[in-house]
Amino acid sequence: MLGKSEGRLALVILLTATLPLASAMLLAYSLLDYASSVYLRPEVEQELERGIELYKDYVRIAKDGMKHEADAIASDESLRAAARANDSLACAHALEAGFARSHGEIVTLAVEDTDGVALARHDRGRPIDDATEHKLELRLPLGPPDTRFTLVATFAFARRYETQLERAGRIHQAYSQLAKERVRVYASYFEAFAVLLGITATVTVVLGFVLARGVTTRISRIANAINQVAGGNLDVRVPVTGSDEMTELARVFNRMLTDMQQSRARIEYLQRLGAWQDMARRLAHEIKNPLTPIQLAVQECHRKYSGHDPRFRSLLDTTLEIVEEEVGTLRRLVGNFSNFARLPPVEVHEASLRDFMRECSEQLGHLGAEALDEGLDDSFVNAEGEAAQVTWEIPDMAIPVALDRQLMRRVMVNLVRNAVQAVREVPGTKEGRRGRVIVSADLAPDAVVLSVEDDGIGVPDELRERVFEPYFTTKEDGTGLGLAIVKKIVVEHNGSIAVRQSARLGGAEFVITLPLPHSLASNAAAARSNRSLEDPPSRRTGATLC
Amino acid sequence: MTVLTVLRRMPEEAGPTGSFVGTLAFVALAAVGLGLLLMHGPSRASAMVGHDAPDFDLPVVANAPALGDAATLSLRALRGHPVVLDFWATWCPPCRAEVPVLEAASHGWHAAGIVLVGVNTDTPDQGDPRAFAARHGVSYPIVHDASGRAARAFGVDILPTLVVVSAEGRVVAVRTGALDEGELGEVVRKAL
Repeated sequence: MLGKSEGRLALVILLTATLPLASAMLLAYSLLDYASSVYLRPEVEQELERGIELYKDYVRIAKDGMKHEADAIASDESLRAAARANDSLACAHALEAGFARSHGEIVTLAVEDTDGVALARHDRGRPIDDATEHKLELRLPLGPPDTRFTLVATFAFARRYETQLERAGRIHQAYSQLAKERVRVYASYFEAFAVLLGITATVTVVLGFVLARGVTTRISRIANAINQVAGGNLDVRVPVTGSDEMTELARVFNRMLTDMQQSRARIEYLQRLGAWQDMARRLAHEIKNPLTPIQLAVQECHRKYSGHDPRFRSLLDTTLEIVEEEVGTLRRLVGNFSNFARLPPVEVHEASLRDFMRECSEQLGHLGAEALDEGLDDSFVNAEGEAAQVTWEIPDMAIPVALDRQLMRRVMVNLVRNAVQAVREVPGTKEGRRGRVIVSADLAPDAVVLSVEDDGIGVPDELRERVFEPYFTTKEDGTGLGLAIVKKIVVEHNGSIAVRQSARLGGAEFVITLPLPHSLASNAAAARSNRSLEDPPSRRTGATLC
Repeated sequence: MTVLTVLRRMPEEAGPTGSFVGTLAFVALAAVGLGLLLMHGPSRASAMVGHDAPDFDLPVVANAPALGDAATLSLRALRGHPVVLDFWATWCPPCRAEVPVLEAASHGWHAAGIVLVGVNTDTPDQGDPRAFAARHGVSYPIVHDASGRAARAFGVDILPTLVVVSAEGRVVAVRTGALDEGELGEVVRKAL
């Protein structure tokens, strides 16, 4: 469902996107308002109207002036008298005099009779220019209404006044149209802004949700996983999707879970083993103490008997033999127990895997059974030995490792011995079949892999975990400590050990994975061994060399 | 200047103002609608129990013969059989640990008509389920949900997640985390 942070993020994006837009909208409105209040003022319109009126007045006054002028000429007595006398020459003279008195706008002055025949005529010498001038003709009777003669005065009136007036009219019309439309302009601007605002809001809300969802779903996944982990279930992982910081977080979280699982397993194993070691120590102590008195007592009995009963003598001999043999076996067992109990802590040092393997191969080749902690009857690890041929595949390059050479050698001894024993159990080995054991090393990413494989009977699937448990053995004479010791040492190296089926030889393959010295785990092991150095325990006393 | 004064100063004609408010209302409604639409995102897998299982159509990358050699598998096509879906990834150690358990259980289920399908969620750079199945001897069919769409549809936010779908196509059980034989058997037995 919708998370709070999604809503918040969407709101923030919405606000950041819409606030500027909304303020821009208001700004635009006030600008528009200001502009319209400046340019669309009613006074402006009134002034425009007044200007037009003025123009109109001016034209009227000009025309009136012309009329007065014509009237003045027509009321000239000399002209009237000349007209009455039908004297065209005198008329012409009177018209010329009137022309001279005028203000220059008269184009033609003529005296015509009722038939339109001119008695006299005077003009300014150039016709009306239609482009710039208007013609204004006035007819005035020369005398009482029944007179035959009329004065025809033609005036030129400049056209520019009219053009100006028309233009002013048009501007005025456009202006008042604009003022009327102002309302509609506002509304359409507002609508455009509202749509823009709406689209922005929708897009940002969607974008906000999508963006937030991408992060919050992955956060809630991790939270969900943390819940499971808090409930003790480390067997969960968070799906790693995307390619951002959240992806990295998921990856790191998963890695942390793996590390937690490994260290939990390691700690559990070491604790369990510690308990077993403790038990072994007590057991060894309890068994070891009475062994000598038992042996001494029986020896004493055997020595002190001076009777001559051959049957009793024979019984005593047998008893002594049995007790000494069993005490010897018990002593060996107790020795094994104490070795296991007093297994020293691992102290890692930088070493070369190649050198280490070379040393091991040389030493193992010369070692006899008695040097081995589980005391076997036969020698077995001789490269030319009867039961198995042990091949050491030593790497060419010097792989740096951090290990405790002494304890790790013990690991190799136990594993190789185990392999040889497994090989011997294959039917036919006693009759001369020679088994094969291969010890090899390889470099994996971030780890060194040591492997001991054989062509023996292998380890059944269901026993693959249990073989490393203390006192678990499938052998008649085994104590079940060899592989437990191996695992403890490997685990203390921050490594891991597993058994699987050998791909090459078909038997068992024990695979030890050790972290490379630079990796974190190894550093931790080194730090731990540093701590144990500061508080030196009674090291090595019980350790058996391989 | 507030919006109110702007609106108040809007001329009194109803036409433009009306359409403005209408537009605003429409846009607001659209935003709310979209928001509601988005709220219906995927929910947790456990919340799927009792609901119809979302269908998917995914390429089969391993053991296609178990599904009649189909190149792709749609969940709908398995209607009539109870289906156990295991959402997993090759990089996920608990998922890997669970594979042998599932492998062992699948043989018994097969006899009972229950189909086990591994839904691998690896992206191409994370791993190759085909190679993994071959290397680990997996015999049950595996489909590849590289885009993660099926996992999202089922609300899978933890790996591994086991989803039991009834023969009627309903999600009947969901378990997260690696299960052992006992838990696995119990989940499936209880659900079906």
